[in-house]
Formats: sequence, structure tokens, C-alpha cells
Amino acid sequence: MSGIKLRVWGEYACFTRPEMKVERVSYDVMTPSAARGILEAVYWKPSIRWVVDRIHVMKPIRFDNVRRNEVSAKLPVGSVKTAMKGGGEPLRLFIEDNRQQRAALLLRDVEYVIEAHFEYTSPEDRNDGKHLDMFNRRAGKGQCFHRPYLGCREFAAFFEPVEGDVPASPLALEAPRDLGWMLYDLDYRNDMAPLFFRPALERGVVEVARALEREGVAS
Amino acid sequence: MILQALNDYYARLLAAPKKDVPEFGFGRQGVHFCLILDRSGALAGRPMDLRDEKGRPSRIEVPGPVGRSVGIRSNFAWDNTGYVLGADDKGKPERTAETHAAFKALAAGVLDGVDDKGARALLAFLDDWDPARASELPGWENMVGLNVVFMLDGEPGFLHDRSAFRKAWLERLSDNDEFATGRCLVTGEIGPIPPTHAKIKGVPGAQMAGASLISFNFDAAKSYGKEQNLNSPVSEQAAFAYTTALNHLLAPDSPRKVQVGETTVVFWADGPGEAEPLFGFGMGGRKTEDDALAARLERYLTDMAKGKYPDELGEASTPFYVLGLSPNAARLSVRFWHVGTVGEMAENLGRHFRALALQRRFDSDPEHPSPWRLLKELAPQRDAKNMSPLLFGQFVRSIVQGLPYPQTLLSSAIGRIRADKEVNYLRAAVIKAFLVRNRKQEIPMTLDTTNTDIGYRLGRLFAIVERIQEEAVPGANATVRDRFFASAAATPARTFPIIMKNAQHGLAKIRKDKPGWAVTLDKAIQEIVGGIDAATGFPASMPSEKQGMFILGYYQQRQDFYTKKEKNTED
Repeated sequence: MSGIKLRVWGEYACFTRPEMKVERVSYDVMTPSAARGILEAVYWKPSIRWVVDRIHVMKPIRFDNVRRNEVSAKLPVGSVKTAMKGGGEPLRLFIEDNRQQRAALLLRDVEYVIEAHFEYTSPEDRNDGKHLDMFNRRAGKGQCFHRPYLGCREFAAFFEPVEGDVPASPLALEAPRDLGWMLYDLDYRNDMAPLFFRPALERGVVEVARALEREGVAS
Repeated sequence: MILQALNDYYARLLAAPKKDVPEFGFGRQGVHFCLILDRSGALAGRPMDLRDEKGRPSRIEVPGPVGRSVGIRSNFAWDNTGYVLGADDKGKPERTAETHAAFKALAAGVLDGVDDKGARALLAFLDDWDPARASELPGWENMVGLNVVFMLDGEPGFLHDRSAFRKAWLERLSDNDEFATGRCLVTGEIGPIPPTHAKIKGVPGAQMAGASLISFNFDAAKSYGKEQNLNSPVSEQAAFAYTTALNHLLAPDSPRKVQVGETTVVFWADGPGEAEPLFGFGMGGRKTEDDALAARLERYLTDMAKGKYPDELGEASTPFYVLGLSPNAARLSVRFWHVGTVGEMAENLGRHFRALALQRRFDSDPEHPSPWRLLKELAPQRDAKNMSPLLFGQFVRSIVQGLPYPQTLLSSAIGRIRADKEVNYLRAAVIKAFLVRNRKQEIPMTLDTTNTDIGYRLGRLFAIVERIQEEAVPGANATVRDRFFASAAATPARTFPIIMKNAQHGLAKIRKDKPGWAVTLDKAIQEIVGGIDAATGFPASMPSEKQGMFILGYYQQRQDFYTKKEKNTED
């Protein structure tokens, strides 16, 4: 299956570690699930599924501190259901009543190249050329279903397709870095259990596919 | 990576020959008294007082301790008298009876079938004990409500330290099926996932009972319907390891922490050497009481500022970790996290002190001022309460990683000087460091008469003008610095003509008494003004970077006067 390459960049990024998502701390690099989210924002159909193979880190890893006002509450599912039926109180959440100041250790000035391919989810609509063309055409024109982002909605991602080879990462000469156990995805069929994998940053590249091969997806 | 690094650090602490961290399943707790049992389980003699002369309990390693809020959860083989003896002074006899029953049940459950004389003695004692007899114990009024442990008469060590007790307790823990199991994101192994972790103590500003590094204490933090720490599966072992390691780093007498305003910085190296005390010393941590060590550390800093690597720090490739934490109510937030090597740390610290290096005004000025000293100098009223925690975090990170200093460093230094018109060594050093590192300015430690930067020249000129006023009008109520410093730095074209005119009057006055000195000063003025580009003249306004140069020129010129004066008196 031929793959796609997408360059994404932005001023800020926060790929929040699950263990530190209250006072947020970002992973050092983009997670495969965040990369998939960006691809899906550009082009996705129910008949395909994006699989991230490789993430190239194209800028040095830099952290910064930001404090933000967030909210502490979520809308209860029950009241959403009631509102949909047209009953009950109006659906709302007052930020003034639910203010929660949270610090975040996030990434500054990031750039990645995502290498990915897609797989089919059903026997229907199998046409490699069509899906690839659609993705590349949309990415080239800057079209997207929703604005892709770098981990958090407020950190918008800019994107463009990469023609030809991916240039060498500026981190290429650094010693390999173990990234620890990283969230890969959630297993929605199994009570939304988190899946972890063990990537490493080698020559500035996270070989997602190889890390999965080596250790497997661990749930 | 923070949790992984702490987990590894714990493993190393545990493996060290002189270990001062508890093993899994155990923790340190303040214990006040020890009950002595004979082999039949009867009390033998008076309860032993474990407190020191100031009445503080001794901290000993005990099984557990369990986290307790309102529910009844007993500790194994030790606890407060309400649990152990069924008697306390809380005035709730029913609840006390329940706690005592819980203690008995736990002890019986853990020690069931254990073939040990200590175990038999403890169980016999509990079978036989009548809570009503507690008040007959010698010294009961001192003991009530406090923690007690047990000891077997004629045997060394506490009961809970006996190998049979420890073994039984660990077996009990491994049988624990109270938690859901899952994949641990620290170790990658499958194990029980506790819903809460031990609290982290020792971060000032957080709650007294300790705060959590990992917690999910409001709805918006939870995802996928998961509760508490199931949002981020950490196994029981790893949770114990990281909390224990962090509490060890944060202990009150820890040499591996630096407290700066709201932020607490802990750091550790992966191997032997004096890198840890050095870092603490350079960053202004606890002052060491060992004079020889202090002298050695000061020498390392001097060496490093010259770009030399002191061998005593150990292998340069040893990993070195720096973690900055600050409190946010019941939570701790990570201000920064840096993984480097000892060599890199030494180099970056050296680079920082090299950028700061400036001729001191007084011998009492610190040669290697800590970030805390510097930032306090930039806080309103020099009050640590007014220090910006955000700026501190950024500042320390830029030092540790050798990055440019935060932009606000320059503006807050200039702002403080505008506000109180005081240009001292520490403030000038901060400005110099900023200009050297962020603006790539070449600024030597002492006065540089060849520097043609307009800001620097005007700063020097201002120092001379002030000097003239000091000589001509000694003891003036409002000096030229009080009145004009801020505007001279910001809008020279508007200010300098006025002060230069005044300076001419001053010079005329000096000429009457000391004509030679007046000529020297006049020459100095000519020399500086001559170096200012005639076409542009005094600039209408100066950006903050030039104002920084102004302040430095002023400081160094003024410093130069002092140095010369000293020479004169010596002659």
C-alpha cells in the first residue's frame, strides 16, 4: 500500500501524557493517535483507516510553561439527552462557576513529517488511487474537514504534503532516546482500555510501525 | 519520562549499601511509644518512650502506612492507641471499638498460620486485651491517641521488623485483589492499578498533608468514563516507587532540592560524584555546614565559569535530572523537566556564570549569585512573595539547558531600576547576562572605554554627570539620578541637554577648588560625547536593549570611579 507524507507545524503543541493531564505535561514528540487525528481532519471516510508508520521530528524539542484558565466540569450526558428531547433546562456550562487554573508544560515551535498509509475497513470502496489522490489534493489545497491541531484544539496545525524524500531531521546526530511507554490508542471494544507501546527516537525519527512490531501493542 | 526516571532512581536508592528509603509495602512514620510483650503475650514492664527530648516521635519504618481519610483502615502491627488498644481520647467509644476490631482482624488475618514466637505473642496479647485496662498503663496520659509499635521482651528490634512479620505482610500485599489490573505505563507490566497514590510532601505552598503529582480530582480531567488513577494506569509497585523517590528528594534535609519562591526544584544524578551538591550550591540550595565542601564547591564554580570541568563531579556522561514542581492547591504541577548529563549541566552552569560575571561593588557581593538572589532583586520590595513563579521557572530552565534567558528578565530588571533608581551589582549582572546571551553583545567584566554602543556611552556619561553633581553639590536632596535616571535611559534627547547644562555649572564650581579634577572630568565627557555619532546626536528614544546597555555603562563607569579612588588613597 503506498503511503502519504504530510508536513505539519505550529507554534505550540501539547501531546498530553495521560498521567499528567491535570497539570498537563506533554510527551516529547507527537503521538501516533495525534498524528492520525490530523490525517483524519484532512481526509477520512468510513471505508478507510489511517495507520501511522513513522513520525519525523523536524525541530529541536523545546518546552515552555503556560498557565491557562480551563473549566473543571463536563456537561453531564443526562442533561444532553434531556436537551435533545427538548425538555429540561437549557444546555450550558458557566465558565465563571467552573474555573480551574491549570499549568501546562508544552512544546514550543514544532514541526513533524507524518508518514502513514491507510487500510480498508470493509470490502466496499476499495480504490487506492482515489483515496490517495483525494488526500494529496485536499492537503495541497489546504482543505480540511475541521482544523487539524497539535494535541490540543487551541494549538492549530499548519500542513502541506511532502513531495519526494523527507529531509534529514536536525536531531539526526543525537543519541537514540527512549521515549518510555507511550499511549498508542484506546481499545474501544474492550471497555476503552488504553493501549501503550514503547517507541524510541532514533536519528530524529519515531518508527511507529517498527516499535509496534518489536513490542506489540500492549493493553 | 518523569515517572520512569523516579522509578529508576528508587531502584538505585534501594540497591545502595546505605539505603535510606523503605522497601515496597513499608514507609516511615513517626512513632511515639513501644509496648513490650513477653512470649505469652502479656505486657512486660512500662511502655518504652521513643520520643526525643523535644517530644518528637522517632521516625521508623513500619508496614504500610495506609492512606486514611474518614473510613476505618487499620495498619498492620502498629497504629495509634485507638486501633491498637481500643482506647483513645476522641470520645467516640463505638468508633474506637470498631477501629480496635479492625486492627485485631488485620493482625489475625496476616499472621494466620505464621510460625513465629513474635506472631504468637502479638495474637495472644490481642485475644487477651481488654480496652478498659488501657488507662491503667503507666504513662497512659502521655500515650493516649499516639502511635505505638510492639517489641518482644529480650529480643532486639521491633515486632514488625521480624522477618516473619515482613514476609507475611508482603504476601498479604501480593494477594491483594482489591484493585483492577492493567498495563502499567511506567514499567509496561501488568499489575494491580491502585486508584490513588501516596501524597507528595515537602513542596511549600501545597496542602500540609501533601499534594498529588498525579490525580484526577475534577470531572473535566477524566476521560472515557474512567475514575481516579485508572485514567492513567500506574502499577502499585511503580506508584510506590515514584512517590517514595520523590518524597525522598523532597525530604526536609535533602541536599537535592532548591526552594525558590513557589517553585521547588529537585535534581539527581545517575551515578557517584559531587554533581548533586554542586548543583544545589550553584542554584542557591541549602547552605552546606561543611566548610571544606563549601570551599570545594566554590572552586568548582570558578573552574566551570572558566570552562574547565572539575573531575570530582564524576563521569561527564552520567545522566542528570532536574524537576521543578510548584503547588496548585491539592495538586503539583511540573514547572520544568530536564534530562541531561553531568557534563552538560556543568557546562551550562559555567556558561551562565560566565555571562553573569561582572566586577562586584562590595566584597560581600556574591561571586556566583543564585537565581533566587537575582530574581529577588527584580521583585518589588525585594520580597520573595512578589517574585514571578513563571519567570523563575523559565529562568532556571534557560540556565540548565543553556537556552536564551526569558525576555521578561530584561524588562523586569529595567522596570525595577526605573521604579527605585537603584543600580546595584546583582541587577547589572542580570542585565549583562541577558545582553551577552540573548543579544550576543560582547561585554567585559569592567569598564570598556572602546565600546561605541550609544546606550553604553550615554550610561557612562550619566555616571559622570552624577559624579560632578556629587562633588559640586554634596548631599543634594534630589540627585540627578533620582530625578533623571529613568528619562535619561528612555528618552536621552529630551533629558541630556538639561542635565548636561547642570553639569557645566557643577564643573565650574569644582574648577574653583580642584582645577585638575575638573579638567579630568571634562576630558572624560569630551571623550564620550566625541564617540557619539554627530549626525544622530542623542537618540529621541531607546529600546529596552539599549536601556540595558545604558544601565551597564552607568554601572561600570561608576564602578571605575570607585576603583580609581581606592588606588589614589593607597598611593
